[in-house]
Amino acid sequence: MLMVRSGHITDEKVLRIAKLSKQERELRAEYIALRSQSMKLKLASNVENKVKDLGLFPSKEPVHIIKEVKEK
Amino acid sequence: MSVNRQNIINKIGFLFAFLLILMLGIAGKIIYLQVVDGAKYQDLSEQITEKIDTIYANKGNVYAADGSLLATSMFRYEIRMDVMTVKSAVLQKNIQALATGLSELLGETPSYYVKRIRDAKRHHNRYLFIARNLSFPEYQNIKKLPIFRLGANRGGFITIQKTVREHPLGKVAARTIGYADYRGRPGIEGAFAKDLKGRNGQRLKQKIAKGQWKPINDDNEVEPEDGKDVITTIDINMQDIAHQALLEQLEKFEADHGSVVLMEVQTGEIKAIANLGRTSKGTFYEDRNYAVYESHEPGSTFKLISLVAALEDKVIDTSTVVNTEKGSWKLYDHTIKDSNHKGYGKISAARALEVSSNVGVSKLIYDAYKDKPIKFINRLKKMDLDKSLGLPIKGEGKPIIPEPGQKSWNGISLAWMSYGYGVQLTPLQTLTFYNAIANNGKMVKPKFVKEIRYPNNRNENQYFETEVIKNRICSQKTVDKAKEMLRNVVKRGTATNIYSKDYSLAGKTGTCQAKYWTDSLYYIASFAGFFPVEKPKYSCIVVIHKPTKHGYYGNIVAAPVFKKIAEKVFTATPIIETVSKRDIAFSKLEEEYANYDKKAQKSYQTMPNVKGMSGMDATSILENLGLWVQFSGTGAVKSQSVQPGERIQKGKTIFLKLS
Repeated sequence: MLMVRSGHITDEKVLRIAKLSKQERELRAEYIALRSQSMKLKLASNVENKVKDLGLFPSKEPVHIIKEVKEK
Repeated sequence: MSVNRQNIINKIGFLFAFLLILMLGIAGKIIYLQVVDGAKYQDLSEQITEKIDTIYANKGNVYAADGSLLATSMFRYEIRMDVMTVKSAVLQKNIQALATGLSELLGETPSYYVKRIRDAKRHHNRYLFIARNLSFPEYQNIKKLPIFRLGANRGGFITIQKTVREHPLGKVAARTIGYADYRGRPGIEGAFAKDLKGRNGQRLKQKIAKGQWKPINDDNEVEPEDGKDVITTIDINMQDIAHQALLEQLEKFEADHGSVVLMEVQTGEIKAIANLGRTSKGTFYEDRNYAVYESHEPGSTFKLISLVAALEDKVIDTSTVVNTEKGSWKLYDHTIKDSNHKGYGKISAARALEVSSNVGVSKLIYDAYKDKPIKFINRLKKMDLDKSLGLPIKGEGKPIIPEPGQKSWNGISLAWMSYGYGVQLTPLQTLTFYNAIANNGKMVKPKFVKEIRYPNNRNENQYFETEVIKNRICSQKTVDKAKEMLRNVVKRGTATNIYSKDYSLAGKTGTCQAKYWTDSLYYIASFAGFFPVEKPKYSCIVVIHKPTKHGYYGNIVAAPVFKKIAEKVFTATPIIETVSKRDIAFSKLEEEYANYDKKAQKSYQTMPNVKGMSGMDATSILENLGLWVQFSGTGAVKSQSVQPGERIQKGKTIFLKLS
């Protein structure tokens, strides 16, 4: 009786593992698909193209950061 | 009475005997099966219910330096329809909706799909093709469509899943990232195929319900080893810039192919590498890794190497005078010509490099080494120019340094070599030399991979340190002279078109002829250099083959790519200025603010005079009084719609004209 029960528990675990693995694979596929999309959009050349029509261009000068230094 | 009883006993007896025989027969058969056929049936049962299953290992990913994905395994889906499992009623009711959905997701008109599905039904098609190569999100969308969402058994929805290796970044750096399949093994994927692949495991499994298999404890079990991840040195933003800049020049000059490599001076890390070749349609894609494999005559970029060798041998100095005459020099039966067709007269060696005078450089080298050409060759060899770099990427081109004694050596070979003909180098090999100059004489090996990461065992990670090829290729003095000459090439030499007052660049242009022994002569335009000059951070080489329109000189075809990259790096690096609080104290500013403050604090019953104030200040005063402000223009207030002194009502709108 115990043997049968333990056999069933194992079977249930296997089914659950299979289900979760499938879920994991699907989530991973979704993650990679979306990540590639976002990576492509992040590329400087793509951003430049998209904002060109709004009148935004890459700066010809570097950013000036003015830092205040505390004098003793 | 006893007769009946006897009959009954007899009948029972017969029954008993009959049953006994039956039972003996069954027992006999059982014994027979177990003993004789037992083994056979045991095996059969094992075959059906047990199997050795492969546990697939996950293939590793290729990453850029910042962790962005360069190559990964993705699922791609193919959809087919088993039209026969769908009940006619269901099909009839939903076919229009399904077709509309498919048309939105895949293109074509809805009626196209309606027709195909109806035809399939007529022809009993159980495997009608719907779509292939779908990404996961696309697959999810199709799954939800009418009929398909009923699943495989009632909607005939068949999915075929495939694992495909993809480059999320698209075509950028495609050849350097590479691949490892039936087409070959180029790039990083090819070089590190074994590390990426991992090893499949195996396990014994037993069949249980619902088509599932359950693992059985087994001594033959082998754990799978997931593939390792490869972290490259590539910076995707610089890669993007380099790719776009190269593409722009290739398209503008309608060239055949080209490459650009950006290397970090101290570490040798390759931050960007783009290789583009022309297709028959005139578009470009990463077809071959020209930077790594294409060993070709470098032309004028080699002049720096010649002069560095001569300076180091102390047979010339930067001030040594050479007579370039009228741009033409006859040596044996060959004439060496300058590209400007008129020469530069008497100039210094440094100037000869600045203006890239063929006559100047070849005369200098020939005069210095003609008695013992092998001395020049040995100096080149001492700088490791005759050796391949030993890159992990397959197919590196071999450098060629001709030397006396070889069949091809003749009286003019030395002069020819000095300005880059007869010798052969790959773009990466040339860059390695320029990088060594930028790095104060220390030659480091180009590095493509930073780290090999074990997904399950961080302790085993492999980190790649910078490999030093040679601690010193020449003295610091020679390095300084070389840097100065290269800086002047941009300042007042052949590359003044890329000069900028905002940041310092140094480099050498190259315009050399290829296939000049045939009718189809063409040019190779190149530029190799580094920036910033004082403390070089990056070195870069650009090589473009066969520009066919609008010019072919190195400074206009190749140098602009170098400049664009340098410019982007320059604008991306913020300039930090520090100020201490003491510095900021302008008495005039304090005065003006005090005046404004007085005005702002007054409570107004009537309209104040805001003329002359800046739009900002005026707006804040008026709005504090509860008025709405609208203005046109920018600058100071020129006129106000309500005059000073007039009564004001809260909520009224004042119009200001700014100049």
